[in-house]
Amino acid sequence: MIVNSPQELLRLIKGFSGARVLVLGDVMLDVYQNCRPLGVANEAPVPLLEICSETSSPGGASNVARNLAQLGVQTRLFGRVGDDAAGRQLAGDLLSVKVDFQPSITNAPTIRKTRVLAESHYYLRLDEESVEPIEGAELAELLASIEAGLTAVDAVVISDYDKGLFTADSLAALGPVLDGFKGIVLADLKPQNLPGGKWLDVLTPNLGEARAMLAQFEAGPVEEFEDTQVAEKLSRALGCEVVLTLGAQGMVLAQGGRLLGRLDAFCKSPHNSSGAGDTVLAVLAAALACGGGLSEAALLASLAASISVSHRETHAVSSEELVQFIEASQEVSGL
Amino acid sequence: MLPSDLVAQLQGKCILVTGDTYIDREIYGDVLRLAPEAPVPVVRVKSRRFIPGGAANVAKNVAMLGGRALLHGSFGKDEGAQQILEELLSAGVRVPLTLDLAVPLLPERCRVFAANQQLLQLLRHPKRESAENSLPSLFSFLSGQSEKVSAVVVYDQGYGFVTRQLLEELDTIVRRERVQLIIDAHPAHVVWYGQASLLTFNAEESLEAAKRMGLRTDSVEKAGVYLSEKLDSGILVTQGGEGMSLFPRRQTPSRILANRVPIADRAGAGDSVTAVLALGLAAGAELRQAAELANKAAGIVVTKPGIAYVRPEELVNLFHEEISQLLRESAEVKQRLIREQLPAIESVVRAIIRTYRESKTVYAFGNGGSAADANHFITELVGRFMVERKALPAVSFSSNEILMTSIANDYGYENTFARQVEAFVKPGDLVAAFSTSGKSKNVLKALELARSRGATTVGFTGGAASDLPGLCDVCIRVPSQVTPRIQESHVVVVHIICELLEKELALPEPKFV
Repeated sequence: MIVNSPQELLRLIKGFSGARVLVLGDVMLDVYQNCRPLGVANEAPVPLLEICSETSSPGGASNVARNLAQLGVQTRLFGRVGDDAAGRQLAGDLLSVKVDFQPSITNAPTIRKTRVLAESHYYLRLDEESVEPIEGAELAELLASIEAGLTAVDAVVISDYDKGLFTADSLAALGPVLDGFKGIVLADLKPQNLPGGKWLDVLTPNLGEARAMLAQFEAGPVEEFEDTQVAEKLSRALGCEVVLTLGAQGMVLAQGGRLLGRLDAFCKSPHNSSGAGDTVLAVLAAALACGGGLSEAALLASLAASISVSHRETHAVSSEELVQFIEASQEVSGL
Repeated sequence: MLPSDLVAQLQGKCILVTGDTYIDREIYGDVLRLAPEAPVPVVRVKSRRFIPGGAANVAKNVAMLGGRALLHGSFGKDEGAQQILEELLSAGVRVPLTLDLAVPLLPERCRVFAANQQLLQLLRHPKRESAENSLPSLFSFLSGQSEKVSAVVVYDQGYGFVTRQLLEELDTIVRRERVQLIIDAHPAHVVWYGQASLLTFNAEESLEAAKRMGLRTDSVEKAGVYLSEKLDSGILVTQGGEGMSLFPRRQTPSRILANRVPIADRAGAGDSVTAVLALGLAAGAELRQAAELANKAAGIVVTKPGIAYVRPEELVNLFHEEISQLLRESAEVKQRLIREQLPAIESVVRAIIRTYRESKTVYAFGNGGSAADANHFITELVGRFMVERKALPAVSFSSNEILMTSIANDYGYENTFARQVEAFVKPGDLVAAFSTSGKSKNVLKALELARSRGATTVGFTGGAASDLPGLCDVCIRVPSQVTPRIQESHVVVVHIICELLEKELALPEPKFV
């Protein structure tokens, strides 16, 4: 077991502010309606809530970008929004957290997920979205913007929520653009959107996604494989590093078809796991973009995730929080 | 005024609606999964609807009923406001005011449905001051209008549009223009209201309003009477499925029962009631009559799911439905006659045939409508029913008013028919007594005497008769307790008897010289 000294990790975090990362993905607006329960409606026996306040935050790929910006990384974001109030709100929210958002405006409405909360009791979620695969001129324009943007970044993060930005066609077109890129490419992709080509450096699936990906390469059933085997085999099949995220069970790392190690989760009883995956992806990207190794990047990501899940709402961990957390621990055990 | 005439009178009446306008937003979706972050349903939104609520919906109801609706309300430029504004304009509501504001101005009530089941309701109030400041004074609003307003509706939900100042302005306008004032009242504001033609509450609100005026009670009746006196106004308390209670100004209260209809939901029923009341009073109807029409409108709206409206033709059709219902009830009694009274009818036919074969006479009597039935029966016998034949001897004791009044005067009314039995009826004759109640003393006494003189006694009565059947050799009891339904059946039975009688006797045609 390797023990990273806190000083090594802190040095890595210091470098975040010099890193430049481009995020590409499905952006959405997370809305939180904080309500006061008034009782039962008089026309039907259903709860009657009064909305006291409404807050919003960037969701999906824009949450990855927000996390990067919170870490101090110079972050540029490419994503699609509609010409509507939710889209303007998202742009405003991103601007206020210093993300350089380059939206492409589509005809479809901005994806919005509204969480209805009554006195911190989570009541239900309203999802408004219409998935329209990107194609034609819109795709060409986006690829051109990415190509132009690549010259000034250290890493690219692909954040796929299966909302139409990443399809077999768009990934096939993206491959040649990324092939020439000298930096690191990280991706959180849906199993149906596995890329061909050699441009992918780090993939961050959860276990379900990883098994579904592996099934595309294995002749037999994949359900019997241990998580470590899944990570190894996937890493070999795709020729990239794999950070397999396992929620409260931590993560498993594989490189070049070989197991690099397992990392336990620091927080065993999370309050709210939403957005923790975005935090992991952002910290990995930031650490790798400033020249960190995979194991120390994963260790930092794991620490950040434990901070993120201890908050009730989706939380983007700042570099200051991360520093305080590490300084508060005497010694942080790693791989 | 017939209700259908009142519906015609509503057309074109101009109603000014003011007060709280809000947006009813409906979100429709499906729930196919739980959220990954916590086990709560994820509603995938498929469609949304913005519907005018509050004062705006009362105005829309007025327009849908054929009235002219003028809405004193403000609309911002946000999505919800613009959508309901379009809907109001296309329904024919006149909305002179819009504001160039991007911020939402109107409160919103959002209902979330999945697979047609309502999941929850969300209320949203914008910043209070934006609502109050956005409404211009009624004076300046009305000065720009050319149309003569017949009634004003104030829709007060307590959302902030209805202020003391607005009500004071209204008071001046109502007095000056002599228009009807209808307030859909909010209990917290009851101390602000002056005299109105009508204030409407639901049951709970009426109790709360009475409490605020100084009377603690859990009786809607007491609250209604008290509020009516205190406010010197008519009060209407709507009670959902139980109908409504009406407390007219300085008059006796009354109840109007809800129509028994299959209910989808009650959404929008209150607004339709308010609109019909306003139009009805504007058309000069009595409060009770307007309330009855409003009750019928509510009966239509509740059969439609979601916020719904009533068209004038639907109200007219409702009266046709009432007529159909009476016809069905009448037919139902006749259906029961088929099931229960065939042997009795046959026995009467047999008895009359025997009477005429023996060359005897048929006598009939009854009071009022039954007197008419007795005369009708006799007329068919002496005159002709369906075929040409010789005359049959038959006499009605109910048709000679000089004789009737004379006997009643000298011997008492109970002897009016008995005295005639004594004079005419011989053994072997037949007397037919008509009494829907079976309790008329003069009928019973005559039957008793006829029987003692050896006549055949036949009774035509209803389901509740007690003494009459015992005095009859044959009795036709119509299985109903309702006088008109019983009498209608008596006429049918009389016709049946005559038709069968003529066939059976096969009497030769009269020879004319």
